[in-house]
Amino acid sequence: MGKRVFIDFRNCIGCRSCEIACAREHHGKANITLIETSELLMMSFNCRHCENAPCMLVCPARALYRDEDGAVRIKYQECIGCMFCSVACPFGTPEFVPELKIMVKCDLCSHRRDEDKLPACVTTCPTDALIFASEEEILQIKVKQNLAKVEELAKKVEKIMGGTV
Amino acid sequence: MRIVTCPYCGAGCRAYVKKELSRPFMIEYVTDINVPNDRGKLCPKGNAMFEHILSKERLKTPLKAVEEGKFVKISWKEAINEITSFIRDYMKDDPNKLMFIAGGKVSNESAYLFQKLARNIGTNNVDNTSHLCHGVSVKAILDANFERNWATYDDIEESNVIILWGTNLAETAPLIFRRVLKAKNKGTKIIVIDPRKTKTTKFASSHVRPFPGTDIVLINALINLLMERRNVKSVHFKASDLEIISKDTPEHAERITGVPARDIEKIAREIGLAGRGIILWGSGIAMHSNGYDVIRSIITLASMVDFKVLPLAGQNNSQGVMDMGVVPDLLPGYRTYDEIYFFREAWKNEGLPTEVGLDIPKSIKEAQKCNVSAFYVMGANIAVSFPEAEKALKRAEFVVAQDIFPTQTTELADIVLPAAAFLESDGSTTNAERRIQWSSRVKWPPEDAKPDWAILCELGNALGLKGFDFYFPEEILREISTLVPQYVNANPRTLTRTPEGVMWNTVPSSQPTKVYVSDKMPLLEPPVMITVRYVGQFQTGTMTKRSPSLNVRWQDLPILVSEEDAQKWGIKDGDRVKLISESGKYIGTVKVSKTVIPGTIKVPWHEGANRIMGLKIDEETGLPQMKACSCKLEKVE
Repeated sequence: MGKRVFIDFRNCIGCRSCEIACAREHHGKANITLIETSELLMMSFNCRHCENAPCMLVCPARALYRDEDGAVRIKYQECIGCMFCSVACPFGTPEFVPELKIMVKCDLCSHRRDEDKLPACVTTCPTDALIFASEEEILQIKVKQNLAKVEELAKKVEKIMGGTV
Repeated sequence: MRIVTCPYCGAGCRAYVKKELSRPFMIEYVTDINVPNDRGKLCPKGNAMFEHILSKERLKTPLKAVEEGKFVKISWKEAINEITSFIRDYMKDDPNKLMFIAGGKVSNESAYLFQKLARNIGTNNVDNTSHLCHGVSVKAILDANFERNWATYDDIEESNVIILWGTNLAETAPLIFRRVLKAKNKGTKIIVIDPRKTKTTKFASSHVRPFPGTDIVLINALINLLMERRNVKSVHFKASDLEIISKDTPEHAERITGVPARDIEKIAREIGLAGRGIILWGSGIAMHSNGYDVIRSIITLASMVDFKVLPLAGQNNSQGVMDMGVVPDLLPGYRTYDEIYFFREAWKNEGLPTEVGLDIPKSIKEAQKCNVSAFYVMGANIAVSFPEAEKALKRAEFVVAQDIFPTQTTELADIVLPAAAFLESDGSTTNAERRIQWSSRVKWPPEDAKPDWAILCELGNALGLKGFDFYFPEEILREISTLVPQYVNANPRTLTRTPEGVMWNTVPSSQPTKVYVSDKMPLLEPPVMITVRYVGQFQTGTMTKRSPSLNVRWQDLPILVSEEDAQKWGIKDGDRVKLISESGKYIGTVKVSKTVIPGTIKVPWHEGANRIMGLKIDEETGLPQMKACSCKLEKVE
């Protein structure tokens, strides 16, 4: 399974660095959006590159395809701009560009991947809230975090009770 | 690929620039060398650092005002002639009627030449816009003999306790905040002292909220509590100091600041047990009228527990313009006027003035009394950032404004000189951790625009002054490195070949830290307006408002009002309101917020909220109140 961009909401400071970096890499159009859900709490919406991608299923022109790294991308020459994909997408990420009359979505920075670099949003994130990893890696990170918590608790108990429990 | 320094805040982030046909300037993150921005990461402003220089609004030719607001194009020769003929008149009889103001955005070379020009003309009326925020901190550290504990960014990661005082680091400098977060992941305690709940306080282990302007009492209470602890270094206080400290018990501090005494005791305990710690502060305390006193007290507190200190610079070269002596009372390298002989020899001018000149607030006041009749403003938009500056500029006989974009200041100028943007000329800057970095030119200036230092050289030569024959900024840097002791390592040969930059050369004095305690406090009647900054806009927006991707995301920034106050005044989200103070009014959209303490109003100052402050210079400290002011709030129908 390919790597995706995941977000650790606890670390996000809502600086929108990712949006600006994405806009710069994609000719002024940002494919990741940060929304302030309530005060000081941010949510980011970007393409999840779903394994069973509804956008790919509904596309009448068969313009959406999955590339070798697992990213869902659009063949711009074949896109007819019907907006089916953005309706089908549970996150509403593919967006219509009126000037070109096509849909545009996150391509996990294909031009940067060619040079063995991470997507721009991940590289620029000042607090490492955006993580470029596969699902297994994410799970490992989670396990590690939980282990650290348990260890901390054990230490605290040790402190209070004295000696090893 | 060239390496450049970001032209925005004082963090001094670095990035590679690559030219491609389809995209004029591609930013590549610096991951291979040690740069101030850890792993080459950039904040939104850094990511958009090229957008403003491509804007079509740039000033491209020198302009002359025919009447206010109407300009005609003139040639460089005419412009220089006009300026020199005016300056010559004053040079003979009264050079102190001229005022030179530089922004914190100019390179070290341009800043050095700027003060050299002013001082050779015969006046010490030269100041920079960072003087009132970062300059106050720098002076306090040097006066207190605390240079040895002046931190670098790496020290942040190695601390056990980090105190963020009066700064919203996550919003103003995300890349320095990254270091704080890295330390937090290692188990460091983060204490935030800020009246407002911010994105920074989300990560704090303890957050206290003193009422704006009362920080000094909180510091005294902390010193008071620390004195009782055994593991604290013994510091010799005078009897008068002890009197002030003993008065500020935690209970007394609770009454004045609104911070529970229990929290103060908890913070004192954490500071006392930390071992290694660091205090970072920003303009939240430095820009009050008692800023100098507060910072000296913080240094006293830091010296008791041997904490490091790091003042945060607002502009990319706040530190550099101070080092270059663009201040009325200090010569380059923080030399006092007792050492004027050094520069008389170096600049081959026996007539250098020795009396302390006017700073910006005083010059604005004097200009309204017609004691200052000409302004030379280089790279600063003082008409928006300083209260009453607009009046002063209108009153002045002659104003020269040198900038990259038409601003509210250039509107009021008689001669407008087009300057090259920061990335259009080679030059060095010094960041908040005092790292001197060379930034390469990535593009030629548009049409007739010239780099700041080149314009100043031309002016100096036209005025017949000695020592303005420079053809490259490297030559100026060579002169700086020979005259400024802190910049000895920064000779052009080394600096242009070290992309990591060169650290300040300091010989910490063995003298003990000078202890200083004070109880000066500005009196602010609620409701108090406090100016704040947002990550996507910078200062008066001269650059960020011309960067499309930043401007669409940070537009019409709201005035934050607490829920209690909103109920009292009968206002709701999205209402247009008018803030009225003695000196003016400011209109904006309101947002009712849980993050603000009752009695305070948070206003973004990018639109010119500073103008309603009123320029009240404190008689005792000589500093104006530039952070907060009492005001009334009215609904606009």
